[in-house]
Amino acid sequence: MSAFPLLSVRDLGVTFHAPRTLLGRRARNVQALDKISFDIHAGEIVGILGESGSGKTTVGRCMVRLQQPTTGHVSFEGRDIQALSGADPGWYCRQVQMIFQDPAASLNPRLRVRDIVAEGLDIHRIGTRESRREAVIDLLASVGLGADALMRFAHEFSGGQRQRIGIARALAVGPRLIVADEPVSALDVSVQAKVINLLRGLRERLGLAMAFISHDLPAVMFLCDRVVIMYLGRVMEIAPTGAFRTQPFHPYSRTLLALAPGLRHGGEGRIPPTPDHATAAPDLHHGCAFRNRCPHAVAACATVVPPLQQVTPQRWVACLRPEIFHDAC
Amino acid sequence: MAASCPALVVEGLNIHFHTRRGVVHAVDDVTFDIAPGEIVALVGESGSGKSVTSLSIMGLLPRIGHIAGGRLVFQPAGHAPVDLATAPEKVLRKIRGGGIGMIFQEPMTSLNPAMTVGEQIAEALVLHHQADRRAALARAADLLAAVGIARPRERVGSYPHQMSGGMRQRVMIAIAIACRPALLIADEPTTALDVTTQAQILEILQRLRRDTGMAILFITHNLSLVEAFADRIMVMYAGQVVECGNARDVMTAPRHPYTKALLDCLPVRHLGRPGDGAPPELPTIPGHPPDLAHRPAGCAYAMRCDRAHDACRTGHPDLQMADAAHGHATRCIAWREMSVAAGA
Ligand SMILES: Nc1ncnc2c1ncn2[C@@H]1O[C@H](COP(=O)(O)OP(=O)(O)O)[C@@H](O)[C@H]1O
Ligand SMILES: Nc1ncnc2c1ncn2[C@@H]1O[C@H](COP(=O)(O)OP(=O)(O)O)[C@@H](O)[C@H]1O
Ligand code: SF4
Ligand SMILES: [Mg+2]
Ligand SMILES: [Mg+2]
Repeated sequence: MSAFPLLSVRDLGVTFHAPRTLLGRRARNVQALDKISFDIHAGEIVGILGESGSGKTTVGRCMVRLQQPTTGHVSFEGRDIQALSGADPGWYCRQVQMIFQDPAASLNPRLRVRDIVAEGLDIHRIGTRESRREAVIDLLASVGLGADALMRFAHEFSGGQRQRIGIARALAVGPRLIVADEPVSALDVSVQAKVINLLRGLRERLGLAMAFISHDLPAVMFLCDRVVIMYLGRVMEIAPTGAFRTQPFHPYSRTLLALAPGLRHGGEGRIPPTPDHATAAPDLHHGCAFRNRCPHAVAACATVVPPLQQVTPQRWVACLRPEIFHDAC
Repeated sequence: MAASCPALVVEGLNIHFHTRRGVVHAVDDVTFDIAPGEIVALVGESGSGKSVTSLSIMGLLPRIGHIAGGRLVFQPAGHAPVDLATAPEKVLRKIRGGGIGMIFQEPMTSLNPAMTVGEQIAEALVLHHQADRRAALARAADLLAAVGIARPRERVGSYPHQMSGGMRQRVMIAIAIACRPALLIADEPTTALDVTTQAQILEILQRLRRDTGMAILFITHNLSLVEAFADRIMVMYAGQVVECGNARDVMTAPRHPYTKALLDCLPVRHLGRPGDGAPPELPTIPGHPPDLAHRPAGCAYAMRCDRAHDACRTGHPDLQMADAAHGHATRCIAWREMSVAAGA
């Protein structure tokens, strides 16, 4: 791993301003992201894990310039991607590609597979007409589809096959980083396994880096080198996957590992169910986002926003009570 | 389980859909029962027939589908048994939301956005003549408390959109249990929820069955969810139950190659010890399920099965006991060749 990250997310904030309602009332603004920071190195698969609404998709969209940050920035090889101009946005688009959860909705139903996959090549005028055809056949082969797929439409394929088409389309422009937003969440278990193997194989063969966005803890544990744990728009913990699994530091991480079906360790007792008042979101202007579900919360947790702090050379945690995991550091 | 008579007996159930592509055999010879207080999980991949099975129990099959054979005998304690397959709509309407409660994956689509949750719970009670309007509203708060909603007396006045996904699913459970059903059917009730909320919902269902003795048919595609939660598991494939038995036995010693292959696909079973380096590839299942309009002869799984014999492609394996003491049955003729340690 080189010392400089391929992509850095720094203090990223995104606030969605609620539109005025018919009655002129203003609904609350949504702070989808609050000072998110993490890195992705070349060839690394980083899992971005969090429950629904935690801001995962919004981070992913910021990484491919589909969403403008309100504060902070994303940089690629040291360059702020919002500040790109001239030919550079096109260049960036070839470096970083996104794949989506719902393969059906993300593929144009009127285009044949050949044209879907070649879209990026056409837009960026990569290669000649003939070489593009060759390239598309190779791309389809690399995701396990035959040339017989070329002239068919996306809806003629199963969910798993559509996801492969989406991956081939993303690979067409030769990206170095793939942002994959819940790419296997809509697929059946047996199909999930095939797509996970495909993604891992791409990293092995092409040295691709990947942001694997998911709420599925076991899938993240299996595929990713490192994990970024998100909760209500904030990063709670960043850790190498193996160390995270044996020794989660943040109280939220511990809850996740204790509750994930199948991951539950024999020694770990049942976590008491969270009290109901905790199902309402806490006031996020002050204090820790996890405080009303946290078994370790103290008074300060309701007033001070815990900063994301480096606690070991490879681990970051946002918690006001480092003594909880201090022995493990 | 006590030797009390089952709350539901499903016997030789067959369900057909008449489509342009031909007759789809969505459910093929499904037989099982559920005892009072028992949780039975119906697991399988999409299209395997889980929802169609549950809809048939509630008499809610879409118009193009019909029960082509079999019996669905519902027998709540103290009442005469009813065959839901042949009962008139008038009887079914009384049973739905009365003797049989149901919850679905997406609570938002089943709740009325224009009514408070208290009114919606009360409506279920009034509809089934369990209480008059005033008593029903009072009981709504008790029901919200029973599903773990704090400050239930204030919450009866809330509208669905003022609640989180997890709270809405609790409201759905409150409605479903309002008339003290003998059977609760839950079709993917936690699929849209995150793990912490999911754990809470499962806990509530466990408690309810303990306290009320209601039977639960729990439908899910998530195998790892049910091991600790269900008493028994039935695995569906291509419209058939291919394996059933005690939850732990099925999960640790599957007796059908499909169940074993499905369990092997789970990433959670392949997390090496940290420091082992990248774990190997996940095992996969070749091919895909058969087209239910053109069922192959023989075992429906034969063309994907790594143990298939010639006999598998011609014969029609029945569900047979592999371990009678634990009620563990399989629809595989080669089950004896599967090592018992498989999947452990
Ligand atoms: N375009 C938008 N307008 C308003 N709110 C949004 C928009 N997109 C996302 N949000 C809100 O931002 C938060 C984070 O959403 P999202 O990034 O989609 O989370 P996740 O992908 O983890 O489920 C949620 O509260 C969501 O409702
Ligand atoms: N409305 C319908 N029209 C035609 N076929 C249907 C319909 N609903 C279900 N089916 C058939 O029944 C099978 C089982 O469906 P379902 O019970 O919904 O599966 P599951 O709930 O296990 O995902 C499907 O594969 C499909 O072939
Ligand atoms: S900061 Fe406080 S509330 Fe937040 S995780 Fe740490 S102990 Fe719990
Ligand atoms: Mg998302
Ligand atoms: Mg279903």
